[in-house]
Amino acid sequence: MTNSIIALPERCVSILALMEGFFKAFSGQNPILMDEAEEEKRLILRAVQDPKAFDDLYRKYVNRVYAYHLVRTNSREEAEDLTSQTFLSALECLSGFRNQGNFSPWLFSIARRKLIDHYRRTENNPVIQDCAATNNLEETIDHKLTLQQVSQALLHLDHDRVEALSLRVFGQLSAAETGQILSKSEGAVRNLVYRAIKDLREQLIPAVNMEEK
Amino acid sequence: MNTPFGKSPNILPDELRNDLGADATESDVKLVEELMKLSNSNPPDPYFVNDLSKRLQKIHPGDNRRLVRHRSLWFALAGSAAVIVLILFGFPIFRPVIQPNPSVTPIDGARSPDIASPGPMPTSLPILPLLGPSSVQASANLSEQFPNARWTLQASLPNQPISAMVYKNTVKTDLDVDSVRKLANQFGMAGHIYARLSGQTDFSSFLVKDGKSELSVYGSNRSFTYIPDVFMAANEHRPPLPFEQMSEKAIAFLKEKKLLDFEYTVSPGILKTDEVLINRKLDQGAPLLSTDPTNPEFIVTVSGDGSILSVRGERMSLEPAGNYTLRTASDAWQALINGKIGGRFGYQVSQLTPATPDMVWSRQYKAGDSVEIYGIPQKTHPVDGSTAIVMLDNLVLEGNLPDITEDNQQTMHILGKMTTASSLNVEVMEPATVAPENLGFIGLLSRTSAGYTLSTPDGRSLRLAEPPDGLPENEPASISGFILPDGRLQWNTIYAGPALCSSFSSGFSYSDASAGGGGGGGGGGGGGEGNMCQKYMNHHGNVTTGGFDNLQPGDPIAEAPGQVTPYKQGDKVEGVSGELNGYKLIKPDGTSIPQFTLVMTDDKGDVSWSADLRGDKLTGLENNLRMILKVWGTYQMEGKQPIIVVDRWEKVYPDEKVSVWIGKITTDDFNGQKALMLTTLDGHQYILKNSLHYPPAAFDEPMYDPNEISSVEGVLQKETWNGKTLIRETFIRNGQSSEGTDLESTQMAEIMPSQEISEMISGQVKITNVRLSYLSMQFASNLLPEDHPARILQPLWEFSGSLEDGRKVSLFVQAVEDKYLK
Repeated sequence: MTNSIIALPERCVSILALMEGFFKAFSGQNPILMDEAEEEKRLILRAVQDPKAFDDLYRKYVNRVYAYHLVRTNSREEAEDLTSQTFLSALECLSGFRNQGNFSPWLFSIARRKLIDHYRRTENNPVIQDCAATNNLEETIDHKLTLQQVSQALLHLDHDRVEALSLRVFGQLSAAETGQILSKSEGAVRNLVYRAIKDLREQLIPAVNMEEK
Repeated sequence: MNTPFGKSPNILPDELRNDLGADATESDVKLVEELMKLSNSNPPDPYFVNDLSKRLQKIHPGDNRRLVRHRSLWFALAGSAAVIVLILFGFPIFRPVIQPNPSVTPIDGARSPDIASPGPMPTSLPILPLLGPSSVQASANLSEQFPNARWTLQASLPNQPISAMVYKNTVKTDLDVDSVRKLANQFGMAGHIYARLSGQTDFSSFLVKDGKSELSVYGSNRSFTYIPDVFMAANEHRPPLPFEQMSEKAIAFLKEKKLLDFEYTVSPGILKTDEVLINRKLDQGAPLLSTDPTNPEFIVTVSGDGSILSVRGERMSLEPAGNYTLRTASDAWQALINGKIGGRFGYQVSQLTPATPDMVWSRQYKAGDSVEIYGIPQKTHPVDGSTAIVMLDNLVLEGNLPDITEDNQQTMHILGKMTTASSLNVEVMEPATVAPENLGFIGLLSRTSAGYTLSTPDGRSLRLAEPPDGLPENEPASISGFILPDGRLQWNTIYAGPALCSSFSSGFSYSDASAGGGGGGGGGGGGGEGNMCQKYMNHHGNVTTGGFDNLQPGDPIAEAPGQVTPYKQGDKVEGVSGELNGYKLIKPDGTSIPQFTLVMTDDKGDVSWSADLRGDKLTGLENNLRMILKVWGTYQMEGKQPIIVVDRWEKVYPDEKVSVWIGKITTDDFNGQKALMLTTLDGHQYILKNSLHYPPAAFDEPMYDPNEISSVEGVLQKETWNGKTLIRETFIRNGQSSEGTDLESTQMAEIMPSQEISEMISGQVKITNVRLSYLSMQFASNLLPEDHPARILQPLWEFSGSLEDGRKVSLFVQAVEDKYLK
């Protein structure tokens, strides 16, 4: 049984009420699950058929996907574009997901793919600022980092480290999930994040000093 | 927000702290905390989030139909329709929902909105948005998008005009009573104005009723629908007039009502044979087209005797935004064929089926008639504070009525006598005791010597009482009504043939190419009524826009992480058990390929992994859907998809079968554990097995309405719980009985074929007409903020023609010179 006919002006509701009775969506089983992971699995199964369920899934992840894109592009407009592309592709491919592990690595695989395509299309070579160094990291952090500073700083880092850090911190994925996306072990992911933080710290100090000047 | 980091990601969780290792400094920790704060302090614009949410829901394929919410009442009543697929090569992402203008802005009901005369050409013109992605120069051009198409130009390329106006479609969202009254006066209506909050949007709408005529005005987009006689409109079955005569009538009517004071084009209806479509002409006589070609600025429906059945309009508010020089049509064509035109062109392909007449009948009454009807009355309050009106279908209910509010809406049984053709004096109004499934019927309409009969899927043959003239034979039909004591079906409304199947067969879809596609035409479906509509579904097919997300040819699609299974490539599978599922892949030629999947569960009954079943030992599986099977074979991986090449299989429980129970679902409690319990109509009680694994919190609220009758399909188990036999449930239909219909859980869902966009336009394409036109994104225009790029109406070179199979195709190329584009 499929969902009811498209919504119509109110005057049509009563005329079609009985028709809607025949096209009324079956509720299926309520997706109440044992724990959050199981709840998500059920939600995904429902989301294939149910726009509302997909919307729940979307709202659960949109901020994280957006944050991941934003820190990598330093552009709200581009982050919105990429976020839209990610979820549209996810919607298109959802029926083929079929319980293939966890949802978030799958979703962020798509997000990462969109970002790669974006870089490829735009041949984005943002300006890399070169500034004098300072030794005071605490002062740097106390100035409250800006997204632009972080985005700029990430450009100097090794690609794998950037990916690991972006997915872990901004995508808020676990080390295991990040590893799935990057085809690396959990240990390798942790190491990448560790190295990324060290590198980032070195980059951010000059960036803060440049802003002050 | 729950994440692997817990609910409070601002505090560095152990999970992330572990990444930093034992020698992490306080600075390192602080840096990561700052990064996390940054992430949370730069959330997406909520308007963007909500807007994308609406887009995703709109294009969700879940109900097998992708229908654009349409202001047109008649869209849903249309016959078989053209499926128009509009793929614009990346219109910009919709921006936030606009805030309603706090100042009152009357609609321009009396005359066309002023389009001010353009003054002298400004010295500096605003840069215009690309037709393509807002932030990316798409690289694909015509030959890259449609590599299998061969283009032939069989039209002259005009060398005029050399410049044209760009317009801005300004926001006009507010409606007020005065504006509605003004429009009602134009139509000669003097009745009350009723306000209602649309369930679809946050905007108010208004209804004006005057005898048999109705005027609805929608606040979301300031569109309106005027119906001079709601009863005649619902019962017009005469053959339409020739188009020339219809258009004469339509134009004369609009001019008389002072609604048509601009230059225009007329064209025949796409969905219905009795429609006249009217598009505005803009600068240089270029028509203003719509991304939904079935939904132009005006649609007039004309009856077989030339009277007006309905007028639907959506007034636009256009301001000139500069006169821009144009590239020549020849340059545009060359750029299409040879050069880089990415981001500057869009295309429209129509999958035509002949427009059909309405096949809808609505019972009509006259003064003095005794009436017995069922339905849910609606109460609407007039804006002047006078007495509320209660309506059911097109009838105004009067007399001693019970209190009707939004909270107590239920199906009522009504008896009364007509005081006029549209007013019913109610003598009895009481809650209906007839089950909903006995107030609406679907089936196949046939004609015998005894009259018309509806043969329903559950085997009933219902003879129609006093059938109307002109009913079709051997067509699917949906009939609202009730069974008389003599067993005949007293009909109230009949939808037959294409009108019934319009939700399957008609459709308009679009896709934002920059955002990865995701649109589909009408079609697809399964289940009872879907099978009846099969001939209409197949007539239209199902179009998707896959491959439209700027991936280069040969690029893999998004990677999905693999499942965790106990096998690896080449392992022998020795009797793995799981539940069998199946579906049919429908090929473009209409044939189907069955696909089977075995779903394995863990000790707790949760899905652990699944594998597709392959090989030539699958005969008979289609008769064992949802059964527990044991399978032997060889494990393989196809990409990341587990496959079992089956050597043999058997049912684990040979006597099991899927059955259906009808009853009410409540919660049972046993030693502190809860589960769902089904109490059948004859009083037997069963426990739904899956619910034994639900967490306690799942039972805090009733999962199913305990007053609703539900159908539960499943397999009876040998185990018991709290003294009640378990059912391994496979399908639950809440609130409706499926008694007498086919089991849902043993049917193989059909998956319609997708069509690559590159295949949509292939073979010989003949371009036979070239003109300047404009394109309006009407379906979303009112939700876009004032400064959204889609509000810019630019001149386009339109190259139109046809494909080998007769489908129409149009290419739209931005006509302004490149120097004006970003």
